[in-house]
Amino acid sequence: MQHRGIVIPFFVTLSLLALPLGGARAQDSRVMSRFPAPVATRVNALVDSALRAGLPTEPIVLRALEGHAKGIDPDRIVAALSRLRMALQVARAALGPASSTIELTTAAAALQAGVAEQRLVELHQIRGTQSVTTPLGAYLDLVARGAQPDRAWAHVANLARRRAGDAEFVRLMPRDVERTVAEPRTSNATGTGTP
Amino acid sequence: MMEPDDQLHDPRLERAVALLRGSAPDVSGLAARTGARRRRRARRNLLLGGGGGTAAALALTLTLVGSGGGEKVTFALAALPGAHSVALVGDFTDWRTDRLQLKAEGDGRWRVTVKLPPGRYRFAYVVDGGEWRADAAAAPVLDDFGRPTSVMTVGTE
Repeated sequence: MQHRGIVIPFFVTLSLLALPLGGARAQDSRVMSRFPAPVATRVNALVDSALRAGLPTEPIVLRALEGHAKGIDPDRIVAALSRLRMALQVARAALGPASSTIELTTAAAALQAGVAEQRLVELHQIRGTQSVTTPLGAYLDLVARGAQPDRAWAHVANLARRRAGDAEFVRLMPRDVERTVAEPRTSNATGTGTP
Repeated sequence: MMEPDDQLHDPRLERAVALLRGSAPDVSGLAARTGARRRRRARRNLLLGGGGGTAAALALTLTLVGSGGGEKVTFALAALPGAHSVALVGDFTDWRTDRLQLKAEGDGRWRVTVKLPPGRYRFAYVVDGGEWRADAAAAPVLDDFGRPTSVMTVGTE
């Protein structure tokens, strides 16, 4: 009874001290419900690390859920999440602190696909206040469909410079890139690189 | 099976999408589209790729770009002889296989339409609960996990 007045403040103080150490501890319910506790802890630690770095956590959670849905070994999932977290960090350095979750997710995908950080910076500068998501996504899709990377980048950057709309980027196909390379003067002079 | 419109208003789906976007989806704005907007959208409803009819399943996903708050996207898969179910899974379903089921239609194709806000989405199909398929009409995505996966962009303007 004598200790009661001491014990309660002690635990309150302990809790308050723990707050800055624990910060905003990430405990995503989807992760908790789908993974065994030890794996969920590892995933949440990465999510928490992203949160502390001011990075978006949803892309990391979604990648974890994707790995789970595909029945992937937990070690491979955690390794993939770790790479994604790093890519998000580099993406934010390239695009700036004001970049959106969608932009960072797409930029991280670009980095993981081998796009140089400098190219992200370049596209960000070209786009100004406009999102880089659609042109960057278009570039990734072009390369995934077999377009030569440098040509695809030149084509997308040209479209971005002349402030093409999203529709033009989304419907780009490798043949459009080849056509522009074949007739560079026409596309630049008229400003209609894509049919 | 749920009707597509019911699926479109799945609050969990909208939450997942909102989280991905980092903001709440403008669902009310989408629902209030005018007839003119619908006509414009209809004009864009051109299937990418051919129908095929070959033994290999051919995906025929339709990517639409709207102005403002995203668009409806029809995901379609060519006839799959012997298949009993096809689930659409992706970032917009939290990668759960029980959220969006494609419906077999008269022409043998499987389809589902989903309203998606602007963003870039990874997705795949799961046939009969176990066979993963990419979308042949969409771009393939670099996958850390070695399973067929596709990606699509819904315009941000």
